[in-house]
Formats: sequence, structure tokens, C-alpha cells
Amino acid sequence: MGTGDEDSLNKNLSHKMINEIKRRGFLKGSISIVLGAVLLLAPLITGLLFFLDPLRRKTQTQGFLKVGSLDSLPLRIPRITKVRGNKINAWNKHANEPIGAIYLVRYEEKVRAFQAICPHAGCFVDYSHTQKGFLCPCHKSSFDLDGSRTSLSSPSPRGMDSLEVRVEGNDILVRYEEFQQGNSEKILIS
Amino acid sequence: MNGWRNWLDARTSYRELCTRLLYEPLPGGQRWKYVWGSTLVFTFLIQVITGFFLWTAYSPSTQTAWESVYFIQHHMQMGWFVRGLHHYTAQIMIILLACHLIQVVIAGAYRTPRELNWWFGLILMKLTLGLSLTGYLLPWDEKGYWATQTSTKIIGITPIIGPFLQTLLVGGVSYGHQTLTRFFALHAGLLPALFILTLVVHVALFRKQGVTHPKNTQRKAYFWPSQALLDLGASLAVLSIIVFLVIWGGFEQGIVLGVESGANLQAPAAPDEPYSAARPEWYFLFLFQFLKYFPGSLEVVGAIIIPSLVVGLLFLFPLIARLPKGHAFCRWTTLVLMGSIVLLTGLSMWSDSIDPAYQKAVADAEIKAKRSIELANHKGIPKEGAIALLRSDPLSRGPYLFQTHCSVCHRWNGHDGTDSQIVDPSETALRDPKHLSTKLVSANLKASDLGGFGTQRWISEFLKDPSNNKFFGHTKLHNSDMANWSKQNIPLMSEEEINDVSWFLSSQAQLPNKTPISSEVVERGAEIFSFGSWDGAQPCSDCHRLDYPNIPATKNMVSAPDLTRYASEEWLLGMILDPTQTKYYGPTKNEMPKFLERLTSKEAHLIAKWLRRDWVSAHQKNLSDTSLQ
Repeated sequence: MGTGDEDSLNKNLSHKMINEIKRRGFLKGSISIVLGAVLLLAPLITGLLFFLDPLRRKTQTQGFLKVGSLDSLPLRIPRITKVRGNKINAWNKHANEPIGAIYLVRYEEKVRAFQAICPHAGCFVDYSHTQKGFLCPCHKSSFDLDGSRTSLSSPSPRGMDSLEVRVEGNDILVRYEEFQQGNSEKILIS
Repeated sequence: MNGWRNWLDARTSYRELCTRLLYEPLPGGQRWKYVWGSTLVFTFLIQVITGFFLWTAYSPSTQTAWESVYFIQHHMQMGWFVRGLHHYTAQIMIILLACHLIQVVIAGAYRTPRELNWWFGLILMKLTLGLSLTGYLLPWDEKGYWATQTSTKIIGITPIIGPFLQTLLVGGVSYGHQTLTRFFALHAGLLPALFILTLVVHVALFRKQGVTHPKNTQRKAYFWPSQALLDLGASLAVLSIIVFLVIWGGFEQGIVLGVESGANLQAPAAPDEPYSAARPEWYFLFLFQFLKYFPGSLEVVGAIIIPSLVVGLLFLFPLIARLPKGHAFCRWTTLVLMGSIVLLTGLSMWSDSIDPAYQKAVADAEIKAKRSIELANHKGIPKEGAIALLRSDPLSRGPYLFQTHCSVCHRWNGHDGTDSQIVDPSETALRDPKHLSTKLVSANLKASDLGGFGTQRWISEFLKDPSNNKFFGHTKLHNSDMANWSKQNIPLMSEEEINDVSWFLSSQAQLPNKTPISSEVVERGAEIFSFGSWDGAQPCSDCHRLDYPNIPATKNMVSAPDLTRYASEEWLLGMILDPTQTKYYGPTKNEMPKFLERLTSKEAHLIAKWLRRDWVSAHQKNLSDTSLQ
């Protein structure tokens, strides 16, 4: 046995020989390819299904959550407010955890609530006291007190996302929801 | 069709590359014995693929490692399967590695000119073992935690550099977040990278030298497709075995078909809790057994010096083989080595199989594992991690608190509280002689057996014979007024009357697992308690107070315990914290110490709840039902 033989054999591998081998081995070759694919697909496909797990998890709708009281809300001045609720974070389950932030604006006895996340690209919108309106620090989207866009040239495709509000006595309750960004329609993320 | 192929070939010469890769000369033709290397490459590929996916869900810290693995295993889509593939492939790899090594030695494929290849192969073996060792800790369960403690301790006894190496590996003097981040970086980063580099060199060298084929063979053959088919066939067999093990494992854990019997993930690690089932993974058992023969300061010889010498000897094989009879020596050494490993592994398994203490420890660990998962499913995991669930669980903590604080005087169904039968919630099983424990304690009995306390059965047995050793027998109450009452009045009562009054008393406890009993029986019992039996037995209310409609005030001025809400959590808590209160045995009759300053409020609650068998049970709603909509 000599490695020299093998080397020359390797070099002299003529196309005719290869074709001969190919013909003989066509069936074996086909089976091998299929088998090889099956072997690699087994861990790959199950792994992908595992990776796709988040797609089958839905966000929880928690109904109306108490976010504040009417008498502590100034008139026509938006107040940034934390929303607390049940939070499921993969394996962790917490009650009464901050789950997001909203702006509350009071007009006499009526209260409006806006999601603090900009509908354009998801930044946290500021309220500017000098401009008496909302201003997104990222791309300068600006919104009026009622949440509508100040001009049609604003980068945001829609006005701020308003949330359903219920006032019960002195309590303000809000149905906290999040919406898709970058869309002119308000589409619930669920 | 051929257009783009030509385009690609002109730029990459891929056809030549494929030809070179596939048409590897194989003088003598395809053989099954050449498959080991390929199956190892295949298993490594599985590990890379499944490892990446597991990486997307694993979180290395002491509060999230067990928790994320639990989530992978029990809540994520195909999580149990992907983790199972990774887990069992790691073990199969060790077996394939041994086969590959033996085949190489027998064939003499380690000899000149293949020395380098042999050495790279040995490095791959060490890397595989390193990957196993680092991977074992990552779930942060009891098994991995305690086994790895031993491994890092062994690293620590290495002369001179040991302590530094240990601290660097552990990321501090004791196990913590940094141990996990470091092990994870090694397991998913450095070791696989080194493995791939070494593997590339190993395979390239193999291709350069070719297979060690039979001498004087004339037959010309190539790797593709005949040997490829054999390699793939062998890989398919390997995959089938792994998938079988995964499904079997899933079946045992109740993931497949929902019948539970085993746990692939044990309880979360807790440095303060005893764990007597600590063993390394089966492929390290031989070392574990070997170490038993090197006591005390000799340990370094068995743990470091001899294994290093053996590995050193393996490295020298290609050089030894040049000596006369060198090849025979290497073959025999390998045979003896493998034989010793099998023998030591067998010895270790055998000695564990005949050790009842170890068997019980394994069974206990299994129960604790299931309980952890049950609690996590039921309650969700708090921020402090899953260990907090166990620490506030009466079923898990109660036995150990009872053992520490109560079993000095009391018994629990004849043992110190920690026997595994405590999980059986049925009253009948507890009194069945075949369930009686072997776990008796040596301390002197001074007080009653509290197994089944507050149940109708316990109360009726007590009423019939309070002086029995199970109750007041060892206390100064053995000839008390209660004992005299029983002697004089029990003969005057029918079995039914005794049952009725004990049902009534048991109903005061409001036990969570109580047998449903009609209010009629309870009312009859209340009447006997208040006014005595049909045949004139003295009523309980003569001495005992009990706040219940129509029960008269006590007549006698003896201090007998107030039986209002007897054996309820509140009653028990008061009794545990201060039994000298007049509500209980009072300063003169009481012999039990006050636990007011010995127990925290949480511990006292846990003991009271455990005595009442008041804990979250598996049959309640699972997290999995609520987290998904």
C-alpha cells in the first residue's frame, strides 16, 4: 500500500471513469442525497418549529385597568401615566407590574388616553409645554392635544393611538392596547 | 439549466471541489467499519443545530437558567424534542467516540504517517468531554449543580495551578451568575470553535493520508456513493436511536401522551439543601468509582495524576508502535483501558443499585423535580426564581422543618417527616403497615405522632386510647384526666358515636383534603360533644371549650385545650408558637417548648400547613392553560 499510488490514482481520475462510476452509483447516490437531507432536516425542522414558538403566543388583553384618579388630573394638560397589570414574561409571571405608559388628557368631565408610543417608528413621544402639543424626539412627528397630526407632512402615518377610557366615579380606567407602527390604519397587535 | 452551473464553476471551480470531496479513493471498497468518524461528524452537526436553537431560549444566570430550561422543556413548541436531541446526542457521541477510538487502534490507523491525525483525534475527544462537562451545569438543576461541584473541586486539587484554575472557571470562590456565564461561553463559544478547527484539521489530515485499508487490495473504489451510503445509513441508525430515546424521555415526563414518571430536568439547585443523589453523568462514572480507591490526600493521584498519565500514554501510541511489538502493546493497552472503564462503570452502577440510601435519594430527587415543575406550572415563576417557589411550598419545606424542629419529640407516621411516603395524600395509605417507614430516628420519643393530625381517623384513635405511645404515652399526660375519661367513657360509647364526635372535631380543622361528610353526622357529633353519649358518657364540653352553637360553657375548672377550630392553621400556629397559653395545655400540663423565638413566622406557617396537608396540588389549573390563548 502506498499513498503514492492513491495520489496518482486521484490525478488520473478520468472523466470516463467518473461517468462509469456515476452510472453504477446513480441509485446509491440518489438514496444518499435523500438520506442526507432527511438527517439534516430532522434537527433543522424541529429546531425551526421551536424557534417559531413566539408566533403561537398571543398578548393578553386585560380589560380595563385602573390608571389614575380624575381629581389629580389637570385640565387640558397631558399627564404621562404608568399602566400596571399582569405581566407574563416567558417563564415569569408578575401581578401589578408596569406594562406600558400612556398620556391622559382631561377635558372637564371627559378624559382621553393616548398610547405614548409613536405610531411612526415606535419612539416614546414627548409632550412639549411650550408648543402645547406632542412631539416625537426621533423623527419630529408632532401631534395636537387631541392626538391628531399637526400637519400632513408629519412623518407619522396616523395620529396618536387613542385608547378606550372609562370613568367610574373618581377612577380612570383604560383598556391598554398596543398597535402596529408605520401603518395609516390602527391595527391591534395581538 | 447548465448555464448557471457553468457560470458558477467558472468562478469557483466547484465541480473540481465536489469531485475531490466525493471521489476520495477507497482501495478495497466500502466497509461498515469506516462509518464511525462520519457518524461523529453527523452527531456534532446535530449538536450545532440544536445548540443554536436552544441558545435562542436559554438565559444563563442563577435566577433564570433553570427557569428558561423549564420553559423550553415544558412550554415551548417542540422544546422537549430539541432539548432531548441535544441531551441524548451528547451521550451517544461518547459511545461513538469510544467505537471510533477502538477501531482506529485495532486498524493501526494511529501509526506513522498518521501520528498528527491521532493527536488531533485525542484533542477532539478532550473537547467532547469538555463540552459534556460544561453543558451538564447549564440547566442549573440539582443533578448538574452537584456533579459539577465535584468536577471543579477536582480541578482545584491540581498541583500549583489548581486553585487559580478553579476560581477562574467558577468565576469566583463560589458558584453564582458568573459560573453560568463562563460555562456557557465555553460551552457555546470557545469549545465548539476549537472543535470545528480541530475537526477540519483532523478530516483534512485523514483525506491526505486516506483510510487504513487492507493490504494488497487491487480493487479500486471511491467514497461516493457506496461508502457515503453506508455512512449515511449508520447515521440514520444513530438518529433513530437518539429519537427513540427522546420520545421515550418525553413519554416518561408526561409530555408525550401525558403519563408522568420521570424528569429530565431536576429541581432547581439550592446550595443549602441536601442532595444525596449526586453522581456524574454515566460516562464519567468510571472516574467517580476510581476516586473511591484514593482516599484523603491520595485523591490527587486518582483524580489528576493517573488520568493524565493515561492520556499521556495515549498520546505516545504512535511512537510506541514503532518499537518491536509496540502495536500489540497499544492494542492490549486500549483493550485493558476500555475493559477497566466498563468494569469501573459497572461497579459504580452495581454499588448504587444495592444501596437503599442512594435509591431513596434518587426517588426523593425525582419527587422534588416533579414538584418544582408542578409549582412552576401552577403559579408561574416569581422574579426571585423557581427556588422561591419550593422554599414557600409546605409540601417541599415541611418535612425538613419538621425533621429539624419537631422530630426530636414528635413522629410523623412513625418517622421523622422526611420519608418519601409523605407525598401520598390519602389517609388510608398512611396507616397501611406496608407504607410504614424504615426511616426511624434515634432520638427519644417524647410526644405524639402527628401524621394525619386533625383527621377523623387520628381523633377517633386518640379518643379510644390517649395513653397509647402514639399519643400521650410518652408525656406526663399519659394518666391525665383525658386518659381517665377514655378508660371510663369509651366503653359506654358505640363505634358510631365515637365516629360522629371525631367527625365533628375533625370538621373544626377544615382540612383541605377532608373527606366530604354530611352535616347530619357533624351535628350528631356536636350533640355528643355537648351532652354526652346515649349511654351516659361524660360530654367533652365538661372540660373543653368549643365555640359552636348550643355547646354549653365548660363545667369543670380543669385546664383542657380549647377545641374551637381545633387543628386549623390558626389553632396549630398558636400551639406551635406558644403552647403554654391557657387556650392550649397551659403552663402546668405543657411540656412542649415555645417556638415563638425559634421559628420565623414563615417557617411556623409552613409547618402548620404541612401538618394539615395544605398545599397546591397537581390537579389545579396550570400556567400553560392561561399563558396561551
